[in-house]
Amino acid sequence: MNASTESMVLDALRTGTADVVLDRPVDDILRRGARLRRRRMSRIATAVTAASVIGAAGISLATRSPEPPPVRPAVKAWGADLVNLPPWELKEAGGRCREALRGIGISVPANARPVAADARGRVAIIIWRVDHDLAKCTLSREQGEWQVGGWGGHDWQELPPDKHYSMITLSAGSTEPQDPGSGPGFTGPLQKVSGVGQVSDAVDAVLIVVDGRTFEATVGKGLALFWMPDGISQEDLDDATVWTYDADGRVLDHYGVLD
Amino acid sequence: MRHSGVSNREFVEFYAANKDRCLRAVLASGVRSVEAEDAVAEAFARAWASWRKVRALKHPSAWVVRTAVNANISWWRKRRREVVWDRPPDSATTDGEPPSDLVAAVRRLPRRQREVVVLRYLLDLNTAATADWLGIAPGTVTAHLHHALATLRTHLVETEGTNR
Repeated sequence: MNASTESMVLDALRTGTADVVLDRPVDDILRRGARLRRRRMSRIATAVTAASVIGAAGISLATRSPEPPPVRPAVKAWGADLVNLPPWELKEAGGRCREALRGIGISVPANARPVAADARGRVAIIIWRVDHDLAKCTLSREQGEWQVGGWGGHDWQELPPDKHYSMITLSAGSTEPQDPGSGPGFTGPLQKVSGVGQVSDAVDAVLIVVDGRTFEATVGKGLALFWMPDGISQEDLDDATVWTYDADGRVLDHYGVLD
Repeated sequence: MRHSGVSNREFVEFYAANKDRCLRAVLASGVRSVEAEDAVAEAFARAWASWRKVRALKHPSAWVVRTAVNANISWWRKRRREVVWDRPPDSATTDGEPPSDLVAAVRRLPRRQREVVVLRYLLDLNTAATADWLGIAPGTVTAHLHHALATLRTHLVETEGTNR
């Protein structure tokens, strides 16, 4: 490939995107960032307080829990297994997902078994592992047929040694339209919130705490999968926490759901 | 506004210098036009929330783009009193209104080629920095770029032919 080709493509890219500008005042960014930081600092401050009290009593602190960890069992937040759609539905819905994913360069073989699939009402999620990608497809059943609503590929990266959970992708919906320019998130209640997190090999169970309620994710193949209850707010979602447990039921660590 | 001794002037300058190119990079990465602005704005806000960490990175603008693309928060919207799917920003789809045919062509590239084009041409990282950020060898970056350019050149030629 010669330099003129590179120059031609570069010029075309720059010319073609010259009118694409981010029209957000920096003050809005600073305010939102400060809010995020305050929330994080609040969690850390609570953890430090807990550590001080326990430390004074001469008890070793196993976790940085800001509060007593949730007690299992909790309400299951996913189907009984990783894959919960029947074969005939996987065939129909999976075929449509594969077609969509092919359009973004992710080829899911026709005989590839999903690593996870589940439905809540008219909404379904199917997930495959393809090479270094985690391919996720979301569908809704409209007039008796599955229709693909969203699809994408996510890098599969190993977790750092000291980390037990990392959010891969989170989807949410709302019955209220988002106000243009209102910033990230919805102002109205969220529906059919679904999460796909990556967990370490040490993790045997994952609990999600949102809006004061506790739900248990389904864990397997390095993933934690969960739905959240309809009606939670964007703030509830931002503040949701994830607790990871080992096979003996001990808390490994806890995280913000979006970490 | 200060974060424990960190002045916001540096961040404001970083934001002004990078906001547009980050938006273009996120669009080329496949995020829908209607959601890219929110995603990039949120990523910059997270950068400010963790500015001590982000400013120490070799390529903070690449961090913003990755954070925006990986935010992966998708939305549904109600239309005609029905809940209807809308495509999430993690979809490198051809829907929405890409700012140019060439950006749409970049979106259709295989993932690694797309990442290399975004980092090299839209974020202006050099080959070594691109390799460093992606965790691959500089030669691999060059190879991906070679293939990507061949595809994009074909697209440009075809587009010119169509327009004649």
